Amino acid sequence: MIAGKEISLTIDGKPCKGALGQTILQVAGDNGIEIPTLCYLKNLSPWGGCRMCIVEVQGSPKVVPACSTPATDGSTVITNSERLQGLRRLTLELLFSERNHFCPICPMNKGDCDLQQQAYGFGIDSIRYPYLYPALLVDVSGKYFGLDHNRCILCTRCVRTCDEIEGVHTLDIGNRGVKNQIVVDLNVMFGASTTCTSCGACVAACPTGALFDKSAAFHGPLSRCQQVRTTCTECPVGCGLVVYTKDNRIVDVFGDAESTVSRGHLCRRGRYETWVEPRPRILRPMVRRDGHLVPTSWGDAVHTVKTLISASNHGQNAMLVSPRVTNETMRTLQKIGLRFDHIGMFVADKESALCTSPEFSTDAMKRLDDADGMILLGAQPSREQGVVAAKIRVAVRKRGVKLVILNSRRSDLDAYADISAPIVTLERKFWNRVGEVLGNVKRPVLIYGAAAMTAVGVTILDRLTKVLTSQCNGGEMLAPIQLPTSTNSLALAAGGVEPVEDISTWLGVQPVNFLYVVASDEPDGGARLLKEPHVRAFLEQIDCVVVQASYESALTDVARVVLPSAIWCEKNGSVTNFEGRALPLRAALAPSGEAREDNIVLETVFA
Amino acid sequence: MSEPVAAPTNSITPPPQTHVRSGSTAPLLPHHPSGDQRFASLDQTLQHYKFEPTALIQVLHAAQHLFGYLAPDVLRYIASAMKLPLAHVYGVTTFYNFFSIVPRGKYQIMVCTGTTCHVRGSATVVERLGQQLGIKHGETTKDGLFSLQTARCIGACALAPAITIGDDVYGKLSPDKIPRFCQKELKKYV
Ligand code: SF4
Ligand code: SF4
Ligand code: SF4
Ligand code: FES
Ligand code: FES
Repeated sequence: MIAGKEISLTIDGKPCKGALGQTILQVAGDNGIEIPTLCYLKNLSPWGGCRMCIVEVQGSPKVVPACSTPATDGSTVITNSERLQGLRRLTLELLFSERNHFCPICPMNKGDCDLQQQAYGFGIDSIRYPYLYPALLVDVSGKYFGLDHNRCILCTRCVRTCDEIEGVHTLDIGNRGVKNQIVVDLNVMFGASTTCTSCGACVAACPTGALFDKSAAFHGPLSRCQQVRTTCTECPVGCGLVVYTKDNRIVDVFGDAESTVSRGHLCRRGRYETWVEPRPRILRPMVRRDGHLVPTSWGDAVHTVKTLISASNHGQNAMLVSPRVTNETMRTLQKIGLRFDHIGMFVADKESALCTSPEFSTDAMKRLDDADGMILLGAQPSREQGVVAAKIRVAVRKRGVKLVILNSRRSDLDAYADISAPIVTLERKFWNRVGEVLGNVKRPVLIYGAAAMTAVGVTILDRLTKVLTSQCNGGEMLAPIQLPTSTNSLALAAGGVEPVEDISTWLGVQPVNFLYVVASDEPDGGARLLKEPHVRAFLEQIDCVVVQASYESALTDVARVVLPSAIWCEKNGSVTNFEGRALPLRAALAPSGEAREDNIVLETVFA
Repeated sequence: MSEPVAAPTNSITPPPQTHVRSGSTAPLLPHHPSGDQRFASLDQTLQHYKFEPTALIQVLHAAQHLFGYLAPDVLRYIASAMKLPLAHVYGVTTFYNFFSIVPRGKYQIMVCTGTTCHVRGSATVVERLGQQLGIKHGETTKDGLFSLQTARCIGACALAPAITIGDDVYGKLSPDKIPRFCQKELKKYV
């Protein structure tokens, strides 16, 4: 927000400076004066519903909510008086009397609930009103989180988060008066929602135990967990995470509000999939003996690999690396590269074209906030890079941004687009319509992904660039955003690791006898390699396959030696996101079993 | 409505549209797959309001007039055509007394629960009427003739407690008059 004219006011006797357009709450906060709030949440539009933040403004007989009252020049504000305290206490008592707030059996008990904290602050141990206690639904039909209407105080923090941050508006308030209730879509159960993306942002925003993460519930209060701030490695966006752990176990994962990339938002993959989905871990090194993989010591496993390599003919050793590995692992690869004749990374479909000239889109997230027109070509952010999809939805719904989508597959984003079309050779009429839609756009941005890298895709890309440059007369076309699919693929490509898409050809061109696969913590254990045509047959011919992976898969079934590697929350180092930012990874847990970080394993094996 | 209504699985939604809404051209709606002509009328209303989100209430009015009540299928159709979130459409629909998401009787019995009528015992009026009709507040009689609703001040305070049946207003209906009133007056409505 552009700072308005400076204003000065007196709050609790203290002279304070602020800017025109700020609310009383913001000015007070900037000047170190705290006002209690409940329905207010930074980064959301103010709601003014709970009345906890009431203040007295001199000259006005009524108290006003600080969160939604603009600060005026020269006014005198009192944030704390006997009258205000009495009213705030009353507000809390009414909230407690309305539904069921029997704390001992609430997942947010003992420090995670804002309502409970406020009540403690006011020394409330009983209330003056009869309890209404309506019997309301506890909706645990959703996969990752539940909604207990009995704990809901109707603060709408979830509604506003879903609308203003994730951009889907799955939630709203239904009915009227005492019958008010949070509704999902057309009043369906959460599990039946057709719009919810399971981003979990509403859960993070909820001040009470109404919305709660199922896997975290009753695993102990977050306030007593250790917190580690790290980076999501599920996609190239690299959102900031705060991982809460206790007894070397994850209790919950939230977005890191300090992250310059994501400012606290996450998608389902980063928020839940990595730790809620059951994935069988490989916990010990294993060597194949008499056709069976048998657990063994690291010393034995490493020795076996070394023997196998020296037995293999020079010129026939290859290594395939997952694009998810850290920059540190990449440096290790560069060091040991000489031992291998070929090192490739197995990127996603069509992604190698993006990697052949790796380009980072500096400040792309900011450009998504600035653009007034968006063209999405050959990328599926709502499947792959959820937080980017959220930005696109919000841009369309809140800023009226024009959206043109060209994609080979449909997605929920099509419903937000002015035009959506498949990637095929398109006629003149179509381009005219694109021209019409983008007619008044001044700052368009082109977002393209791997699927744009086909012959037709590239002609469309050219054509679009022409349309955009000619259309936004008087404006400027923002630098295009390249949206890769795999986490660290651009950095690895820039570091000289060859992107490989067609695995069997790659293996076939160079007769390979020894193959070392670094699958790292690929969610499927690297099994997607085997889905490529002919690869399984190839691997069966190869004398020796070594697999370094975190999760069991069909790939480990063909391995001679299996080495356990650490997963995302056990890794240190850094990854580089699609904007070119090197983002830190900090281990929140000690590696499970005998797993070790990828670069440590490689250094041990090839020392 | 404290029990959520599960979405019918066979609901019909207009398929997501390709090449739509380019500012100047109005979307071409596909025919509703059910072939129900009432949707064609609804399309006209939608087009009349140019699918402007601000016209939601007018569109809901038209839909309720056409269908009698606003079933999930109808709401989903409207939300999709107007590009509005489902939850928002539901929120607006259930906020207004006028709209009903369940089938209603041929005649609405509306009991005023405004301040004056409340003071004169409208709560008991609702109860007694319910007893006479064999239904509860918000329900519809088995023969589909009457449904029982309440409203805030219908502007007939001088006649408190007041009720309306269809377009007719009845006043000074103190609770003890209800049984006789029902015997005498309800026969008129067929
Ligand atoms: S999980 Fe995300 S999409 Fe679903 S209701 Fe919550 S905020 Fe909305
Ligand atoms: S569910 Fe939580 S965030 Fe949503 S309105 Fe209720 S208390 Fe507020
Ligand atoms: S957008 Fe990408 S980096 Fe962010 S949470 Fe989702 S998967 Fe992780
Ligand atoms: S915080 Fe201001 S009204 Fe709720
Ligand atoms: S209060 Fe009933 S008509 Fe006004």
